[in-house]
Amino acid sequence: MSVTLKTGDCIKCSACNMVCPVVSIDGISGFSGPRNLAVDLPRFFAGRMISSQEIFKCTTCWKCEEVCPSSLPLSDSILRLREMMFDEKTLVEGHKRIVENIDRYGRSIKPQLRERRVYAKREAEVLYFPGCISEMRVTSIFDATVELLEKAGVNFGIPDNWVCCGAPLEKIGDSNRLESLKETNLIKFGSFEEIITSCPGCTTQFLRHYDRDPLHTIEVLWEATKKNRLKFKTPKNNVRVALHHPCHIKRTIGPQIIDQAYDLLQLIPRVKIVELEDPDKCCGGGGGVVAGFSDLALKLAASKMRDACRSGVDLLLAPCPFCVLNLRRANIGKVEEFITFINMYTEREA
Amino acid sequence: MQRTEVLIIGGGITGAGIARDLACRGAEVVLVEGSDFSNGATGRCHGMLHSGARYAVNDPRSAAECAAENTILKRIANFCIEDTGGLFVSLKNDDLDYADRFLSSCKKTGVAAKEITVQEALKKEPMLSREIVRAFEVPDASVDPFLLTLGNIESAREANGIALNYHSVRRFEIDGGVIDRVIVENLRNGSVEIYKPEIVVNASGAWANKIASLANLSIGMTLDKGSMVVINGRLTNGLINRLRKPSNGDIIVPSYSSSIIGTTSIQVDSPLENKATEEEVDFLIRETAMMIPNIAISRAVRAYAGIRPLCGSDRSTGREISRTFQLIDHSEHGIENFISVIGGKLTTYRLMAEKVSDMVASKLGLSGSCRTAIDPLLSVAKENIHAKIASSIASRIVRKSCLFADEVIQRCTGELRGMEVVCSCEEVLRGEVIYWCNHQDVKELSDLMRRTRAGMGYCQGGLCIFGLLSAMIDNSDRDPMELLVRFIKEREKGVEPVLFRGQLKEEFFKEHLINGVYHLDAYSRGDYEKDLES
Ligand SMILES: Cc1cc2nc3c(=O)[nH]c(=O)nc-3n(C[C@H](O)[C@H](O)[C@H](O)COP(=O)(O)OP(=O)(O)OC[C@H]3O[C@@H](n4cnc5c(N)ncnc54)[C@H](O)[C@@H]3O)c2cc1C
Ligand code: SF4
Ligand code: SF4
Repeated sequence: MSVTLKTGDCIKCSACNMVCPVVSIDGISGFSGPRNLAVDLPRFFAGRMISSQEIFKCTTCWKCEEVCPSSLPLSDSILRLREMMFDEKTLVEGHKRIVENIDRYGRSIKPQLRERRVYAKREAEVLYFPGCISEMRVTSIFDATVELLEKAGVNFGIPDNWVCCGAPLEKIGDSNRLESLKETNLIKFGSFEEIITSCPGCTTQFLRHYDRDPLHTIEVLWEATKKNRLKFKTPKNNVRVALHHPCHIKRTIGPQIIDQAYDLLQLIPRVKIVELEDPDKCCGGGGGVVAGFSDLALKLAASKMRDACRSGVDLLLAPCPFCVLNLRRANIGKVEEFITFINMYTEREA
Repeated sequence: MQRTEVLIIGGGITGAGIARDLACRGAEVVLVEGSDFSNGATGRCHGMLHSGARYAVNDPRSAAECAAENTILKRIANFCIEDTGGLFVSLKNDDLDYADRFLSSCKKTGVAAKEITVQEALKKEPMLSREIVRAFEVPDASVDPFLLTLGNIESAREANGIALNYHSVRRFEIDGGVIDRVIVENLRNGSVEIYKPEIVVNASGAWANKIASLANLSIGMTLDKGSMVVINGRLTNGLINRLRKPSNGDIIVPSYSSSIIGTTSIQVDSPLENKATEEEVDFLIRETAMMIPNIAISRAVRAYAGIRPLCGSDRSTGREISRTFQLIDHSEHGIENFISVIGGKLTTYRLMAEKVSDMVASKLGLSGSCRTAIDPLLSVAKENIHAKIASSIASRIVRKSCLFADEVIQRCTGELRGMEVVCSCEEVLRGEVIYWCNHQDVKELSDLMRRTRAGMGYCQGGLCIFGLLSAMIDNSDRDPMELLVRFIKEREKGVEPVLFRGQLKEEFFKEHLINGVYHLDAYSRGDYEKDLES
């Protein structure tokens, strides 16, 4: 009922369907599109959805909302429907794995043993929340962030035994587990006023559901350059890079962070920035789609990487662990995580 | 010239009910309807299957009739009734003594009303205002008036009755105090048809006086306009009534995927004055939002109005005239074989039809007795079809297409693109549309809409209209532009009073499509060719 109320102002222009990345890959017969799912489906909810896994194909890229002339909360509506139809028994394989990992390890992925320094400083002023992927999968992000924060003179600490922020659970509609993760984390967060995150997914989660106002690492580094805390090295050769605009930065935590990322890149000599034709085209890494419909996610990643190759860049930079993970699966061209790249060319201001 | 025992004028619910009753008693009946079935007050009513509670205090006879018929209809016509139940709620400043009188009057008239606590009411209806102070449960229900009428028409046809829409009565030929011939224009082809009936039944609702005048008679009646607004989304589980002396803006009826709020009461001079106004829309939203505040922020989709033909022409206002019905045997006025029936409610149509049929039967000397309170309206149970279609879609189709569900589903699964959704507001499949396009009763796009619901949803035909049109002209020589212009005109009339927020935006977009892209305005002006060239 409440869903219909919020999406009741649809004028059926289908602008949303036109821009939806999943529709562009699967066609309207494979994915009926935001209008059908977020606006029409709730009107006929009873019985209809139960058999449909289709709703889990949305990558929550928020692109549809961006173009909707009525500014309808389409992605939220889809998430709400996922929540309404959540049933542990009918989860697809990949989503089941997420739930199992959360139950067993408190993380959305299975942790791998690796050596790392402990950063739980007692007098730390700000909290760094690495997130599951940076800590255990694309570990360079974790290492680079720690180094960079130190170079920038940020007095940070990492809490012991933090748990997944819950973003993957939100994407599969598991609101109960989400709630309990949130409780655990909030205790760990204690009195820290400032939280720094590596992953736009975590950032969004804290912002929208924890009632906190976290900073993405890009914002912290940008501030640091304003105060001249970072010095940039010159690469040996010219590097041509393009910046991927992750959905969960561009359309949820804020497009200004994209601008800041460009500002940072411009500070590195010999880095040549090439603008992609469609820089904020979704890479398929979000919304639980990699775990749930890995083929679909792969096709989206491949499409993005082909764009990058066509533009003639050496590197595609992605300021999001999920994007990096998924884009690399395509095995086309080269992808580097943004912070990791920045770290390679910075040193501490003496 | 065609002979028949009974000629019924009017294909609203009253005429359809009479046709069914008499046909089942074995009479030869022909029903003629000047436009489409249920295009009069029937299709423009609030869709409430009254429990009788609304009339309990002031109009006990209507209340008792409604209470009895409510039970019967839920039994014989469940396919078109959503038995949602209803609530009567009083708000903070309402007259609380009225609530006590209400309860005792319900008891006296046989209306099953029961007081529940405010907490219980809020649990049943989470969107109710927190300002309510008392609440009563009643067996109100939501009824689809189109379907109920079509159900009666089809049942009459099954019993060998003839029912013709787009057949308008133009003239009577009277001979020695008897209507000898009835001259009817067939609006499909403009031809004239002549009927020679033994008895003529005038069931033309708001037009009753006009039909009576064809026999130089006049009927004392008042025409009373009532307006309603369709609000997008089903905001309540059941019906919500304001507990006070019946007044304007008292009722919210959940219907399919919308909520219908109403009504008003304004005396008018002609049955054609059936346009809702902006003032009425504002008023209705304001009044009903006191009960369900979300109405104020929901999208108003369209507004429509129906004309109540109320018995009596005295000076009392619309709300005070009894909602019971009146049966007039015009033999008292010098015409032997002429009966008029006016007033009543959709809820009490069956009872009205029974009384009329009793009178007709005694005049004709028929012996068969009325079975309409016992026999289900549709003889074939259609619950178990169709593993081929997702069960919720199938059950919606079964509900909408009654007797024809089998054939309709055949079209959906058999035709090329038959399962495609044509109208996404109401989830109507192309197969349904194709079936009805080929049905003898369907002439206009709006006929198609009444039978499938395509175009009734919140975009008001914005998306489906071309899908409907292409199905419509596939198998016929109908002029697509003419069909389109007529349909859009009719829709515009309903949308005009709600042109704000969501619907305003919608209409701008449609305007762009219909006139900017398809140049329909130029077509109406007559310079379509020129416009296309420029
Ligand atoms: C605003 C409003 C709200 C209402 N809400 C409810 C409600 O919620 N519940 C309820 O129970 N009742 C309700 N009613 C009452 C109910 O709608 C009517 O009692 C009922 O529909 C009357 O049906 P009818 O067949 O007598 O008249 P109509 O439906 O008006 O049928 C008369 C038919 O005669 C046809 N006709 C006219 N002239 C000719 C001609 N020359 N030749 C051939 N045909 C002709 C017309 O086209 C028309 O279709 C409401 C009424 C109104 C106006
Ligand atoms: S959020 Fe993105 S993937 Fe999901 S429906 Fe909207 S446009 Fe499509
Ligand atoms: S863009 Fe918005 S208004 Fe247009 S069809 Fe999609 S949901 Fe409806």
